[in-house]
Amino acid sequence: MFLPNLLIALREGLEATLVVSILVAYLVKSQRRDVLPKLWIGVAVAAALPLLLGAVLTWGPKTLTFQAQEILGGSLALLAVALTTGMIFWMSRHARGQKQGLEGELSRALARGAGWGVALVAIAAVGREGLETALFVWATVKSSVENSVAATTAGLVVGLALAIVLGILIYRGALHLNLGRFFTWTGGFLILIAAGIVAYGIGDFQEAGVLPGLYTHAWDLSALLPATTSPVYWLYVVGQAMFQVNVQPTVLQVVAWLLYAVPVSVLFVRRVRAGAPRPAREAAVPATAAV
Amino acid sequence: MTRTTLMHTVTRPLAIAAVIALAAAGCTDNPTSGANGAGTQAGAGPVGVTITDEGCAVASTQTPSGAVTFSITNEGTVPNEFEILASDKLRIVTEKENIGPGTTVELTTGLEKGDYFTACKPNMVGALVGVTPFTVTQGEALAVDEDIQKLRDEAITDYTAYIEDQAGQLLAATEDFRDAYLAGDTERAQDLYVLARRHFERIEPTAEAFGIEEPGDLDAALDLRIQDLSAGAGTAVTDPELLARWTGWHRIEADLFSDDEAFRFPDAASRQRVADQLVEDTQTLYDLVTGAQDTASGPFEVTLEDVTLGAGALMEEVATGKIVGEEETFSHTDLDDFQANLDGARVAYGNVQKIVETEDPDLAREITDSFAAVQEELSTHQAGEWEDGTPRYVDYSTIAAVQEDAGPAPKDSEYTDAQRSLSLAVTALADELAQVPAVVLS
Repeated sequence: MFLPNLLIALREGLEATLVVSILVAYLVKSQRRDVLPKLWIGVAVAAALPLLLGAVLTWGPKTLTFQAQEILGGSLALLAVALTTGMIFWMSRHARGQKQGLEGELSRALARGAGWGVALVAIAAVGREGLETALFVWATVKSSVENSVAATTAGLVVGLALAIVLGILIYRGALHLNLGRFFTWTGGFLILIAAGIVAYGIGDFQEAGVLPGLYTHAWDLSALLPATTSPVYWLYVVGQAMFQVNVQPTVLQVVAWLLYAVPVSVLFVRRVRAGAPRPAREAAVPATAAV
Repeated sequence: MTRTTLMHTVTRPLAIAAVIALAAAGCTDNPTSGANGAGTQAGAGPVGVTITDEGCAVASTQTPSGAVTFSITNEGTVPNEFEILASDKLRIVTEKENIGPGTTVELTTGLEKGDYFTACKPNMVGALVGVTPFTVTQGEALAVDEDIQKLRDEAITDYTAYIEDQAGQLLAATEDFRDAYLAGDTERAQDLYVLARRHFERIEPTAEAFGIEEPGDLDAALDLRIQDLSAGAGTAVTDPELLARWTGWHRIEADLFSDDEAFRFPDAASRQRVADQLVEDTQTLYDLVTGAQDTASGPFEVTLEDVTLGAGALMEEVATGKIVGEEETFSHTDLDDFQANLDGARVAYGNVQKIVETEDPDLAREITDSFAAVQEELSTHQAGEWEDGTPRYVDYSTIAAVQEDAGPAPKDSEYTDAQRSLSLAVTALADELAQVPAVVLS
């Protein structure tokens, strides 16, 4: 009762804390601690709203239809991808800027309004999974209350706490990298995260019946999943949380993943190495074109 | 190009899309947990679902349409997912993910009438487990078209008026009958017997409601047959004690029509008593239907069920029971009864005919044709007219194999051709009328 629910909460929580910890590390590395409050406000809003909405939907007279939930989840996923992609290229430009001594100018740009941009990315990252997590959280709490089973809610709380701890560890780890490497690594990391979210969003739309091919699987390794107590299962959960590792993706999900990951990676690598800064909007096109 | 404009360009359409999606796909009702956890519909609480790692047991595989709530308990060891699939087993109608072990979650969804499948997905991935057919039946009627509701109300009003009218005529005719009978005017009494009873036979579909102490007791007092009485008592139909307990129309019929002396009243006093009792009970019947007196189950009222079920049930009874002449076993005036039954069924159906024509025009056509067919079949046995111009029929025993003086009933093989074709026509009509309630009440 305790452990499996802990793992669900860990997965849902880590999806949110992962991006936030990278953003925090990024701001700290860039000497932009002054933007942190905006980011935390964003995170707080993104966490509170779905929890509130989830509570209303769980205990109130109305609840969302399945299709509405999936379409909302898919839309938010793609929104999060667009924002994260913008963030990746913003950071890569900043990385170039560091080397070319443009730091002052870019810092001013960040101060002029992109600070809220960072907050927005955080909102998208946390809010994307927010409703799904909230519905899970409240359904579990409600069930605990109604059945007087404490273990399920305990697992949930510990799982969320663990997600936050992992987020902090990732943040600490990221701080140890030197600046150039930091941007490269976090950028690559974010591309993988965003590609996973693309595939996830496509899956949502397929479940809602907006996109076809729900049962056209690319592969199916679900039979290989061990028991929840196995360390492999834990790895799978973390992989799910970080990169939306899917043991049974649809063909469309795989295609969308590649359509996003390949062009964005190529662009990113070129820019990190020596490429001239390019408008981020073009980079975001493949992501939206996949829809 | 700054970051903020990028933000705006991607945020706005997506946010708008999300809002639209939310508004369009919309909300559905949450279950309202009653004291017993009853769901949002009468007579259907949440459907229990028990998940294990290997299976997915649904407590009932059928539920009425509307807002359906599933109460899902995961008793397994891995997180699970509950899905409802369309009849093609492909389209997901709704699902609940992240059902942790040891938790009970509720899933509410609007389901229309049709065939579905329920299934689970351990770890929310891979093959579906415990795929079970799930049927959603027609639930509570949704908002009824106003016109139809108006027609229904009219049907009840009109039929109630018809019953009151016939009960009034029955009372007057019964008094005339008693007077002629007690005055010894046999020929006039025999005619009036038929004329009065026609009114009773027309409103027989609602006879079940004719009760003072218990539903139907008044119907028994007025219309009981000696065959039924003797079967219950285990004695011969001519047993004097049994005859002494017998009241109503058929007691007098036996005295008035039978050649068997055994059915005569033993004295004038008992004849007077039964005749007066008949009028008194008929008066009570009239008081019941006009609301001057309450029935056993409260004020007499006609429901749409009475109107629609009654007509079909009556024709069914004609086709299977009355066809052997059991009702008028002494007088053999069964054909006049059939005509009255047909009249009553036609009026009952006529009150809902517009609804049937709206909802199921084919059935309406069939019924109209069948009424005409039964009428035609009866008309072949017409022998003149009554004083009011209505058809008068031949003695049933002249055209059919019948029960004589409450004797043994004829077997199917003994039926005459006329009897057989009458039975077939009435059966066809009864079968079609039996489909009316579903059309009218749904």
